[in-house]
Amino acid sequence: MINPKPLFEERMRRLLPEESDFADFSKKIHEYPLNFIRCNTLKISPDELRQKLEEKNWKISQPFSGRQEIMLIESKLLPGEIGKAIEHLLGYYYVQEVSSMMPAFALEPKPGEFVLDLCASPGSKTTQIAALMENSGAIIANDRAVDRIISLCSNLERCAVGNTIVTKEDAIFLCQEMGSINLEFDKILVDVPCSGEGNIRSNPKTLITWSIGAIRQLSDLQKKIAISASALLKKGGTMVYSTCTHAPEENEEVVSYLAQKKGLVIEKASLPLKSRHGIKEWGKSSFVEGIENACRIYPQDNDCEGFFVAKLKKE
Amino acid sequence: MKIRFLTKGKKKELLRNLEKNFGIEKPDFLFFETIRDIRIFTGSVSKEDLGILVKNLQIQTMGLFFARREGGELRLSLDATHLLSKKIKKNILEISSVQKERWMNCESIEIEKSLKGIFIVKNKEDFMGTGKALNGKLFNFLPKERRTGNY
Repeated sequence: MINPKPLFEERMRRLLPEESDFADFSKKIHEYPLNFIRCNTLKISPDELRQKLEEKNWKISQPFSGRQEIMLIESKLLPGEIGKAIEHLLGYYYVQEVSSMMPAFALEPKPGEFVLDLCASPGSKTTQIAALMENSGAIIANDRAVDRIISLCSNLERCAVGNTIVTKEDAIFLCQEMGSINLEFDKILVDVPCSGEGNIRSNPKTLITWSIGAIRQLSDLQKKIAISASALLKKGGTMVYSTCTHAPEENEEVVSYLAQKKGLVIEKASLPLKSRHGIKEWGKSSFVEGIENACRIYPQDNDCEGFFVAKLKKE
Repeated sequence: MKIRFLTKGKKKELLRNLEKNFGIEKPDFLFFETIRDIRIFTGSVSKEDLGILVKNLQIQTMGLFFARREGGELRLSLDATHLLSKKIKKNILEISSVQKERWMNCESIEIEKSLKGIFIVKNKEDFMGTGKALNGKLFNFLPKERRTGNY
């Protein structure tokens, strides 16, 4: 077991001031995450997939009544068994942690819309958005790294996503390019690179690499990316900003900056997971009105990984 | 990525081929071609708007790999057979569940010697891409990343 650095622990105690809550968090981050998958409704219905997986003697539950595509594999399986199952290779499901499904649910993409997924690899959210859009409209999915683009393209093919255009650009540069040809989007997902504090359960090495310096650097980059993307949002359009971290510098601080600079309104997202309000202040910083509408997802509340999701509207 | 939309003539030929070989009638996609492959765009953006995007953005890829033309034959991709599952009516070759395991491991499987040409492979309700029947064997075109043996 890797012990958190003292500063990480001190900060999490400030976010979770109740001793029992912090104890639950500390315990949960050292447990292996549950095996969630998302049914790819572009290829198969949740009922059909469940039946197929149960025929393999996998115990399956669908914990969220309005979201049948979210499935939990309760059976203990061999390492790699979920990834090498024929149903996975056929593209019937995507292995995706439940909290990572929340940004696309907050975005609520509709068939026929024009959507930008700015930091898209490896494609979990892009494939989810395409399924919610029933493969219609169009998605521009971008990432800057070649190896990540390869994973993205491979996952798009496997899931039979046919409404997506993949670009390989620096996110800020791409936004400038698209702005110069007056492109505007109905929906924009900005799932930015982050310090990954929410993913400790699946990637415990985050506790070793964690540093406050990296958080500050990431926060600056996230602000630049979010501001660039927001310029491409249609009037009445929705932008979702998300991270898999708890650090307020990467979450409320960025959203607050974005809302103030661009006049975006922070709306409450309707999510199937339990979430807590965005915090109103951190250290010497106070955040913009409406920040409480942002959603903080903690591992101890849902037996999931940690996430942050904010839904912003351009009025 | 260099993208060329299919000309009217090429599209007509493709649709005729799809109907003649697999009974697929009027698939409602935007077709385009790269050097070897036919790809589709399922979205609802006009050809003109797509043209603007292609011209102005550094596009890596677009839409979905639909089929490959080789030696005068048209081989539908695994994922195209999924998207068109309700429209495929002809040249479907049913395989057993045991054969399905072998097929997903990219093995060729034994079939009747009289069968010849391109077939769409199916086990129960699962479409599993296309194979080429020749001399009593069904040859497999599954891409590496979709084979069980790759893990």
